Amino acid sequence: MEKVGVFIETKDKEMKMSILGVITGVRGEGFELYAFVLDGNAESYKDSLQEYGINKVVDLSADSPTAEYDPEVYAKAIVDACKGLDIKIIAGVNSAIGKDILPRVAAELNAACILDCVSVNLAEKTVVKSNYSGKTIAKVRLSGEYFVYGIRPNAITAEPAPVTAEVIAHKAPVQDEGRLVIKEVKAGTSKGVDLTEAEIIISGGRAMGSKDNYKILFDCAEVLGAAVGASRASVDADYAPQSIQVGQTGKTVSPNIYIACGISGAIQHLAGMKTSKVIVAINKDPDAPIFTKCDYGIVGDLFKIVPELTEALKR
Amino acid sequence: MPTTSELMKFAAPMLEMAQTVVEAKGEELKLCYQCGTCTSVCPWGNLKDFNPRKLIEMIRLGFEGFEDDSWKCVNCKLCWDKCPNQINIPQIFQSVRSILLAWNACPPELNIALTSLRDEGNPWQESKEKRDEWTKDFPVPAYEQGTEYLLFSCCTNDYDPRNKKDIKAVVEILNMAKVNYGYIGNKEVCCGDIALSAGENEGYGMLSNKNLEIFRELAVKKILTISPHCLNAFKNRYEFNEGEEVQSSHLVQTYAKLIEDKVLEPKGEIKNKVTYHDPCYLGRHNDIYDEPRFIINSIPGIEFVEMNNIRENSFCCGGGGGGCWLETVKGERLGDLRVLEAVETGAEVIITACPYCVQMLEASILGLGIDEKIKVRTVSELLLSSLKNEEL
Ligand SMILES: Cc1cc2nc3c(=O)[nH]c(=O)nc-3n(C[C@H](O)[C@H](O)[C@H](O)COP(=O)(O)OP(=O)(O)OC[C@H]3O[C@@H](n4cnc5c(N)ncnc54)[C@H](O)[C@@H]3O)c2cc1C
Repeated sequence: MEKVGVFIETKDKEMKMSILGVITGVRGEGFELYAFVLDGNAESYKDSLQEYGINKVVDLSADSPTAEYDPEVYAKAIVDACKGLDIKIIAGVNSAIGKDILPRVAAELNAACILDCVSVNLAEKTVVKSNYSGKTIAKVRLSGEYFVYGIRPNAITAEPAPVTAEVIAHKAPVQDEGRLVIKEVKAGTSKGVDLTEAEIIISGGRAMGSKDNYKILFDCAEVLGAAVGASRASVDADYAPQSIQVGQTGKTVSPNIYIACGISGAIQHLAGMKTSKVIVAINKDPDAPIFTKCDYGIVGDLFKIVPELTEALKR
Repeated sequence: MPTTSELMKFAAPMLEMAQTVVEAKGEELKLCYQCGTCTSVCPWGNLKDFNPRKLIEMIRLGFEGFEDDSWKCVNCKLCWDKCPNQINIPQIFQSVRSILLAWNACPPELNIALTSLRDEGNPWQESKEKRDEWTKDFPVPAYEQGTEYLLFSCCTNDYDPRNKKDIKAVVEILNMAKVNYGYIGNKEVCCGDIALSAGENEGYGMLSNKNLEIFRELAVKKILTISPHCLNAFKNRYEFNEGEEVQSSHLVQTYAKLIEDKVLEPKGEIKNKVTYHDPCYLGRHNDIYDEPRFIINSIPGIEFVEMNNIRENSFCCGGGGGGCWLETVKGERLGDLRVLEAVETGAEVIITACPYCVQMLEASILGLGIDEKIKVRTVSELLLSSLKNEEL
């Protein structure tokens, strides 16, 4: 049995759901899966993790007193666990945090490190990666003793494969060298779920009319566990920050559900969201082009419909 | 003591760049006098520090730092027209881009469009099978051998919901005038203009060859274009074989002739104050200035006012040279300046004749939040409104 360690990314005591796709991608015959949990809540993630095939949940703690998130300490703790548990393969989500941690782990272990893979085959030691913004797809073979894989969020669809997991503790005697001091973590302007990782997105257009009106979208998003997006016209009008612009020159998203509220459906907006699995449009103009691209369309005033939707979902 | 070549490396770390640009069809790089006319006429000068003269010198000397700015050029051709040495400066930027592209140093949003061009034959990431979807409930005659004109629709008209309205107006007018024309639907691929201006020469070659093949197969003699970008590609860039007499023209030329010959008689009054925006590719690139003005003036009741920067000096919307696929932060958009110039004339409608201009100007109007004040219509939409006696 070869052992695989999966770095479990968490935030505010919740596990990032995109990790389940990573687990789905790396499990398989001949591999034993270890989940590295560093936020002290290993027990609470055990159920979800075993549902997807994790055999051992490692409650990984480091000795040094540090800030909540310190990539150096995290990486060293993971390295220590890998050495202690004889794990030579490490995988994680290629998210901002994943990209912060995984290369540090790889550097310490002198591992072959490959980021932003869309699929992996651990037995063959190969990965598939897209290059040049999707122009080419490369299959890459890795060699070495240790392997670190960063897997693109949502590239692999999570599928359950239940096993029974046990929680084991591992204490890493990590010395914080203090090369990096985290003084403060400031939340970005876009609160809530990360847009490109979100499974549901509710977006507002120029019809929102003001920054304050976006509140109805955030309220609905909270109930849905959704992220909030925006059209460029609403970004231009300063109703929403550029960081949540969806479209050709904004973010490209592909959630399971995309709800467009008061967005006309300009081609540049469609370019960023048309691969969403289900598109819902709310617009008062029955001729709005968005209706030609949606699966469900509601002709009406978003200021009436969205709050009603939120209420209905709460029930 | 450092050797001469080491000194050169220090003084001109990327000297081979100049040579590479020259080899990539940028020969004219060598002709620059460094007079700075280009910089003074470049539309970007109104918004930011953008200095084509300096970029050219940097490229010549092999200094780094021109890379990002090289994607700014919107191919409006003003610099080329005003250059005392008539240097094709946009071509120099295209050559530079082709090199940057080979290094994978292309803005990602443009790269998406270029990938879509290769895969789907259109820059809008839409399926090639869906190009003719708009004709499902709006029949358009098919081009067959012997049809007089091939109506080359343009990807943006086929896929962009906004510009589909324009192509529908075109079809209605051509039908009214009983023009003998036809459409090739899903056989059409992008003319390749953006590939070319992005320096994606290989993609351009692939697209142009596909179209040329179809033109040959169907023995096309006359091509009627709606987008000035397609017109420019066919007229000035495509490599037709010797003896292949293919005439390309723009719709406004057809309309003007039809009105002159009284085949089309716009009788419905349009009681709007309008102005006309010259698309760079129709005007400066192809010298078509009079026909759209003639059409506008033939509409009864209309009040036509000109902006300051017109005809040879028209001010670009920002959509050429790949601009339609690049983000420009609010406050730095050429389209905003153009729209504001139109507003100043008191016009309520900007008439234009290019799908990119439509997109750029409309996005600027929305971005400026002045959509109650001014709107954009194409020459075809204007003409059809009058022919059908409807409001614009
Ligand atoms: C180079 C370039 C890049 C661009 N990139 C992007 C991009 O990345 N993303 C993007 O979104 N756009 C982009 N655009 C802009 C795009 O062309 C459109 O201008 C923009 O998407 C329009 O935003 P909107 O739908 O919010 O506004 P509008 O087009 O004004 O639509 C508002 C809609 O709200 C509806 N409405 C009004 N009131 C209500 C109500 N009470 N209830 C329900 N519906 C209502 C209206 O019927 C209308 O359909 C780009 C444009 C250019 C030129």
